[in-house]
Amino acid sequence: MDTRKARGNTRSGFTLIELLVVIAIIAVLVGLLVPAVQKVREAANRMSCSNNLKQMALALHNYHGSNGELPVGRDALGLSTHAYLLPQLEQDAIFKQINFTLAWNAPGNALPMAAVVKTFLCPSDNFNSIPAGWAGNNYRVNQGSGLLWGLPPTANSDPNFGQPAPNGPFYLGSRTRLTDILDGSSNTAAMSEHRKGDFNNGIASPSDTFWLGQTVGMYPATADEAQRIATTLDTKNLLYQGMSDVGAPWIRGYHSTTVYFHVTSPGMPSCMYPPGRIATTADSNHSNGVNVAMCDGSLRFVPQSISLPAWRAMGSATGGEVISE
Amino acid sequence: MNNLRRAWLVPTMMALVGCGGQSTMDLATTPEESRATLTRSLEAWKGGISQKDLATGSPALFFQDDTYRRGTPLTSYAFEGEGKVVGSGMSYIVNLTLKGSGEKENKVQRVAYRVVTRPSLAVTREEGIP
Repeated sequence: MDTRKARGNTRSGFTLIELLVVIAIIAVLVGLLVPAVQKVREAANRMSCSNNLKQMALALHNYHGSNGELPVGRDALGLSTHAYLLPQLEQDAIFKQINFTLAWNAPGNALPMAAVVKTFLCPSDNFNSIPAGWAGNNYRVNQGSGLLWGLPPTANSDPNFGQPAPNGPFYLGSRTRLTDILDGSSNTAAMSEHRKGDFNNGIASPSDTFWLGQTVGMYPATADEAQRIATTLDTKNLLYQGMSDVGAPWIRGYHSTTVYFHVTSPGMPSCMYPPGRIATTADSNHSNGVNVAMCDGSLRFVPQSISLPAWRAMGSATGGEVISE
Repeated sequence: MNNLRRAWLVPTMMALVGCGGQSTMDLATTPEESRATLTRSLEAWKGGISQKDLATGSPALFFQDDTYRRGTPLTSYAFEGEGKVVGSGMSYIVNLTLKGSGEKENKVQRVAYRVVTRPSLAVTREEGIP
């Protein structure tokens, strides 16, 4: 007798329960695997990011070797440190396209403004949609631990009269030599990183720069006040969205594209208080901290929990502080 | 047809594996919308409407200008030329005539505004430009 007939018309195969169990097992395995893969991927990205920063730190030293000083923090025409550093990053072709007698946004500089330099991009920053004609950047030079964006004003009618001069290695017209870094090049930050913004003031993103102007209670006179303001800031309020062009174009030497400050803790919202007071800081998509290249070329991963005095001490080149962390 | 399918496959796969690199962002406004939004902002300033009222109006308009926020009255304004695309928005140069305080004469200020209209209406005074 045919066995098939003996069993009735049933066909051999998996039951629904068996299938569900297999699917559940696969789901559990995928659930375990995905975070592990993401962790490995982020570790690789962080390593790639620190490699970029290392390249740039070496480029700073090569520039110093050739010119006897570090490149300018930004020049009078608004061109960035990055623009001056290109030959040391083997980007001669782009360097030659830059007209250094024109402003950063002059039509004559449109071509280099759109040139993508891979070394300037952190792979952990997955925001890669940039306005046409611009190219992105995640790495910034250190202006120091003061609030003043420009140079100290001489007129006492200026709202920034009395604010201390920038004390980092890179600022407007800076020509810092390594011997000027009295705190020691291994104790002073040269560069760090920042996520790109969303390039749209109609969208609130934590990586943008928040424009607080002279809002009552939000115009800091000191770095400590800036820290307090940044701590309590409502980053979702679109009334504070004033600078979303964060991280592009790299050719522009600006507090939200190529320059950062050691005023507020890393990872805090970056803020601007026109006229002339800025507290953009370092941040990243790496977990709990940022990569920092010191002026001697060494790299550190600085946790967001770093004490504020230690972070500010890293920012100043001549403060005489000792970094204990 | 197969080639067309493959053409889609390459950028999709690149995006999935994270090799997308840099892509170009769409404009967040049009010349008409942006100019109308900026005009509405400046008319509001001229008419004494506060920044907060604009932000809670319908549709909400976020107008960022420290001179406006401080309450300096605007007596008139004039667009200088056509706007141009800057970043994801349009940028306009405007000559503002601001009322002088007390006996002081009115002051003319040449400023630039960046305007986006998507997803929200936002007008922002540009720092250091023109």
